Amino acid sequence: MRKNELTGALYPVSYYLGLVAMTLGALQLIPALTSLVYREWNILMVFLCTASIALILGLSMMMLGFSRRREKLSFGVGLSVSAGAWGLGMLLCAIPYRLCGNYLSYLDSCFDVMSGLTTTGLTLVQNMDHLSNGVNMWRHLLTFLGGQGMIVLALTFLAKDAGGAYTMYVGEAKDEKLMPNAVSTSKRIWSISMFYLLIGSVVMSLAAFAAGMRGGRAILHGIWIYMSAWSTGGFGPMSQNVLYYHSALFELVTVVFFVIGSFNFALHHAVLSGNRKELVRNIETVTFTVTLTLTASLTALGLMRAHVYPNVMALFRKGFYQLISGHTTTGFMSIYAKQFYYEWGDIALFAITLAMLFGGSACSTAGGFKGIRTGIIFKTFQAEIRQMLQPDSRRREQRIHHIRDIILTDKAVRSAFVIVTAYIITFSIGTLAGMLAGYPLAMAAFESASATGNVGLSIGITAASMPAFLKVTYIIIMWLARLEFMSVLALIAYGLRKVKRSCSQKYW
Amino acid sequence: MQSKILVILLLVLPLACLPARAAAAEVGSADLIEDAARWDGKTVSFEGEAIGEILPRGDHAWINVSDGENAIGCWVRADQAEKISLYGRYGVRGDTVRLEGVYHRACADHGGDLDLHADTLRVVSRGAEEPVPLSRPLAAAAGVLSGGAILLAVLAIRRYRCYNCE
Amino acid sequence: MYIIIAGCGRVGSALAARLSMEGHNVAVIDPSDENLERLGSGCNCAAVTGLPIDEDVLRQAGIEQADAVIAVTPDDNTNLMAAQIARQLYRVPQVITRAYDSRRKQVFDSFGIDFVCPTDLVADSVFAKLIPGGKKA
Repeated sequence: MRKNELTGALYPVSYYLGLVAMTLGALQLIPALTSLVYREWNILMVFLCTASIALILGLSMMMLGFSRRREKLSFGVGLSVSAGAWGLGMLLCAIPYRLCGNYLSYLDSCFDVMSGLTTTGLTLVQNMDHLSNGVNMWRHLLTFLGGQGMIVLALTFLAKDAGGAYTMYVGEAKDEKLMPNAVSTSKRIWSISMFYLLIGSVVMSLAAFAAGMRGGRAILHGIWIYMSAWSTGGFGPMSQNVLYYHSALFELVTVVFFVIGSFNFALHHAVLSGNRKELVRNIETVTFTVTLTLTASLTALGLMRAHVYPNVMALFRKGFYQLISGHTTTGFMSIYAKQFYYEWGDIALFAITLAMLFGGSACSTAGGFKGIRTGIIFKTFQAEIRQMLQPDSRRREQRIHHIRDIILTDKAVRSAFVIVTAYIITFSIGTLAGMLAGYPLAMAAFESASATGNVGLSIGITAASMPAFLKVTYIIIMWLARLEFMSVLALIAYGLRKVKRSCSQKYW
Repeated sequence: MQSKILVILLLVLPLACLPARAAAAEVGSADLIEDAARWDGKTVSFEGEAIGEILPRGDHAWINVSDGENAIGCWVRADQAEKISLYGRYGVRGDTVRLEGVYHRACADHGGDLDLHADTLRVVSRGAEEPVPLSRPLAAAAGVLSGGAILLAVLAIRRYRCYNCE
Repeated sequence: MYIIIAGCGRVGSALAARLSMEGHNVAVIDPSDENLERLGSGCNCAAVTGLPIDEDVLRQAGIEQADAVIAVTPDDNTNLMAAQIARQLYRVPQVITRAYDSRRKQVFDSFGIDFVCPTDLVADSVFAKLIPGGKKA
């Protein structure tokens, strides 16, 4: 790309980034309102300040690029905007955290924002049990927003003129088209989410009532826990996370919501449109069932051998809950972080680390390798082994079922292997960073898997006392993993002014 | 007279020799979690601020108590819980309570929860409302910035009202 | 609107670009992958490989929810067939086709299909440039 082409693209880019900034500013009015209702005056002022800053910045950027907003963005630029939006989002959304007094530094604030937006769930907040309702609302709202995707949100506000819409949409690691137009798809995704938000908040609040909570707090906690479950985020309003409620029913309801939340949006769309059989035929649900069973059995084996839990109920509510929370990359915890290391034993830790890496479904709020890739890789192994054992048999065409019957092309297989490898490399770097910071292998690997898979389970490493380089490493890992590498790499490539046209098409 | 003093001494002395009731060890939450094997099943004493709210369960209740490091779930009787009047949250410091009871690393009765079954509960000191005072510079900044944002928004709408003309 | 475009030639791809830019849902059908590449890798539309007269292909493109079908393949007969299927089988509200041979006008009209004849359009345009204010064909 020639120099003037690159700078020329800055105008529409400014328009889209401005749109994102404005959206984020407008969203901050929700926690501001919450603080107003609960008379948390300081927090209200904080949010008014930061919302205004974002609105002013966003409006200015949009006005700058307004005249050239209709220009089509090249694929690479579109991807960069995606990654850039997340970066800008992180910086803007961290300001209220820094000002509210519950975070020790701007870096810690950025960490928490990135953790929220990527629906990871690792947190560096201080004094969570005395956190204002305004800030808690912002924390949970961020994870709900991040789950859907900021680009997706910004696109819903566009009626037309979204020339670069598709590339930006893909840049956020969503390549499922519910509708041909990315803007329509974004709107559809948001409608589905709003619909579930209403129902889910009611159900979750009822569960909170059943656990003994009353009044406004029950409703607030219901809404927040729902947002966190659906977005497979893992944030909770209290320091004990889900353990605070001491309720098996509450935990069960969260499981239902976060499992559903980890499913592919296209699957939701299909089932809601009447195609119920898809639930059992889809390659991702099948793969998920297999890997879940595998890792759960392994976890149970490990826990039983180490005599960690006294009875089946405890094994279920502690062992299985943590495992399925990890596998769906949610991150809700009903035990204390340090208990993983001190009690679980190596086998169970191995199993859960693996589950965190496997992750949930593609095009959902979950992270990890994603079920469709695990499925594709498994099928490919199957085919290769068959070929090895019977070299003379005719090479059969592999098919997978994902909404439609799709022929497994070599390109798709290559893509799956490449992305999974990228995840493994990221995971290894994260583990190395943990060990450089002084932690033992089991702990470093666990926390790295949690960051790489955008999970949120913690073995105790994540704390304000972590060395800064480790915080930065985890921030980058969470960001890379959530956007599935492509858009962040595109951003870096443009930043370095080297254009790579080779990886333009992504299949999975 | 001397014999009376002697009798009293003889009666009192044995009482003084009775062993004092063993005081339950006071343990912090970090030790309870990390050194769990040592304390599991033993009677301990735990002190901290009652946070959140009471979660009633029939004639018992859960209260979550935080000592600043972690919050521990405590299974108490309803009558014990009634002693607590204030629970900690934003702008409120809850009652500081001291509980003595059996600590469980993974309670068999409560689905493996890490908890403390309180035999006794005592309110050490009452909590209080500690409202966060409004910071004037912050309020001023909020006013100025909000004004600026609204102004800019109005300008933008005026200028771009004709969405398709340019 | 949900629009299906049959044929990804120059007209088809140009229409797809403009309509998707306006915010409509556009699905383009063409048997040749090469033609579909005209849309570009960042096209804000759906591309379906196949024949526009094949019902499976049409359904995959979403004809059941289509508000309009536009048949602009190079072949008049294909256009007519696709238009008929859209109109009669799937009751798509608006069907527009391109027909090079305007003698087919009656056939199209009898099916209630709107059509555009490039030959006439070009002839009219040139005529208007040569003889301003003259009678049209």
